[in-house]
Amino acid sequence: MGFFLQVLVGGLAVGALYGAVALGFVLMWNSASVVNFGQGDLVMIGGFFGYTLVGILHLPYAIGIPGALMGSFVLGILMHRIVIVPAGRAPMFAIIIITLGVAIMLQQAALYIWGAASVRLPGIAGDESINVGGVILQRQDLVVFIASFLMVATLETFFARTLTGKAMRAVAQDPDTALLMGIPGTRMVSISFGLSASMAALAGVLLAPITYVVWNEGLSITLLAFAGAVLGGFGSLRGAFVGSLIIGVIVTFASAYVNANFALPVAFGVLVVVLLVRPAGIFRSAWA
Amino acid sequence: MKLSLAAVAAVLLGATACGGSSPSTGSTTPIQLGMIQPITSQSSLVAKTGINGATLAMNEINGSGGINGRKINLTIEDDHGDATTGVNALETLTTQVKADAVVGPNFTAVALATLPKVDQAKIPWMPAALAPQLTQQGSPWVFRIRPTTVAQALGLADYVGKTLKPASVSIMSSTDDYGTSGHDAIVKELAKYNIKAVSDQTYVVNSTDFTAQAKRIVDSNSAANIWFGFGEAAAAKFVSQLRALGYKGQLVGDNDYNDQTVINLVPKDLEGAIGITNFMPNNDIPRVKKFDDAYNKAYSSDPDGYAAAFYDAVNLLAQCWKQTGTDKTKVRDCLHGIKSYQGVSITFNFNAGTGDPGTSEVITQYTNGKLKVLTVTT
Repeated sequence: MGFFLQVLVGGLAVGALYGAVALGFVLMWNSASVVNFGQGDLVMIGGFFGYTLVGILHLPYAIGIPGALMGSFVLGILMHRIVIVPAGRAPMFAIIIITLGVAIMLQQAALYIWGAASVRLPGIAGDESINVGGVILQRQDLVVFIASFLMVATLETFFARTLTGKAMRAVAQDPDTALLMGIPGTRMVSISFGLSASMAALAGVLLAPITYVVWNEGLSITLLAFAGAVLGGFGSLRGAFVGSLIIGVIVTFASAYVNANFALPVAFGVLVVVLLVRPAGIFRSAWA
Repeated sequence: MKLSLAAVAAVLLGATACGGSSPSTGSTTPIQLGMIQPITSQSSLVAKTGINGATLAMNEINGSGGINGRKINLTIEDDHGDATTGVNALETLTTQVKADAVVGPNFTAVALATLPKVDQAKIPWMPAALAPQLTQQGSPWVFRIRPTTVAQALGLADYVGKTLKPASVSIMSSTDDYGTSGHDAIVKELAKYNIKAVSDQTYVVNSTDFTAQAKRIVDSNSAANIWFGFGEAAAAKFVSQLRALGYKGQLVGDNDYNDQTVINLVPKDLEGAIGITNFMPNNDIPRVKKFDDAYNKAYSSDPDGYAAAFYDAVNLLAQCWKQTGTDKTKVRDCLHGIKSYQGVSITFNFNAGTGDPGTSEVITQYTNGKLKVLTVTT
């Protein structure tokens, strides 16, 4: 039983990591109808921003986290203005390729600036673990779990209750009508890119004590976070979080009880089965 | 007519100079050395250190008069870490540059794809790829300059069986070629000491969580855990989770356990960990210290295993060029005769005829924030 519970806790912790990243995917989709495959690399860049402020400049997290979020917000806006706006209303696949191109540029920039070695940050609530009835919990895992939960609640409130959130959804659903209603579409999408990059940065800083930060980490994070978002129901914030938790638990249990080599096939097999039964995912998008 | 004869004579002279020449020809034509490296790939940093090592050796040789009066000219081709590009790079070096020998590439997939071209070109070739099968194809032109992963795994298992003699061991390895070949060699070698793993765990490269494997290892109560896996971040994360779950046994691992990145990531968790490497900078061996100093002076950083291996490769070739000239067959035969060549990376023994250099290991232990050398075997 102890083994089972420990693996379950480990799976939920990993799932929460994917969830933190998956929220950025959904935020971008809900507010700009863009699937940004550079999301994992924005997580990486955000992690490096945090590392620079906290790890190198030795600033407290109270300054480091807002600093990383602001830096990434600017980066997100620049990404939109420089590479997405000139593409105009290019088809979705072209935008996906553009975001992949940006991802590669971000990787090479990170390699040049921060080097090839992995770096880590100290845990926000310390690096010690907590023993609960024989099950070991890492403090940082708890921080990620709580932060992801708060991110879901904040973003859902933002999109449902605030004027800016509603305007972003309107632009994502029908940019022409939104423009006729006086909503500045390009500006809204720029803000969406900025917010999404900030969410990625928050995930990056939260993950840095656990999975570390390295220039080429983006793709491995992106894949499972995207799977979590799809499983939960692409467009649903809480769906992305729950879907990611499920993916994390499946991967960890498959590794524990089947074989490490089968962890990903089992996870994606479950994803396929769920999508066959419920094509819109576990949670349908709140806005669908 | 007179002009034509002069031209023919010039061409013939040129051909003599460019082709295989004996040590006593007095030619001053540069010796062409080709190098293939993954300059624009995920291993770009390793490519850089490898190029630094080769360049340092070339500059030292050229600075002291060259090879019987001839300078070495290094031409570097980028393989992007890609097999097809690697084959094209060798083609360029052999047909356009007219290289007298080629060092690199580093990736096994690139090296295996390049091998048929090497046999076709009949050129001495010194790759740094580690997979055992590279030297199992029967080519007489291959001279691998780094010991195989299996050699390192055997060295590690040997140290565990002969010196540590733990009551029980557990193993953690990656499921890629590197981890699998190392794992199998470790299990086989440990059997000679009647040691069987009480827990044998694996992980997939790029994994970020090792809870299940770590928990099983902790529950096995093994006296020592042997890590043989791909990825510094994975090693750090594994050690961190293992210690967090309460593992008190001796940590033993591959060269991740003396890697500065892993040390920087989890210095506390790595305390007491024993690792193995083929090359350890800043050690007390005079020739290594001399190389360290020269490398640091030239590049303001410590050399790594690739820098040392390519430094040795150029010096090995230089030794043969001095003895035989640049005739490729003679150089090949000279390299096959290399025995107990004390390089800065390892001691080379190509005389076994397999194309493998033999091995040498440095066993290290990380204690009190420092790496100390426990044993050096050659």
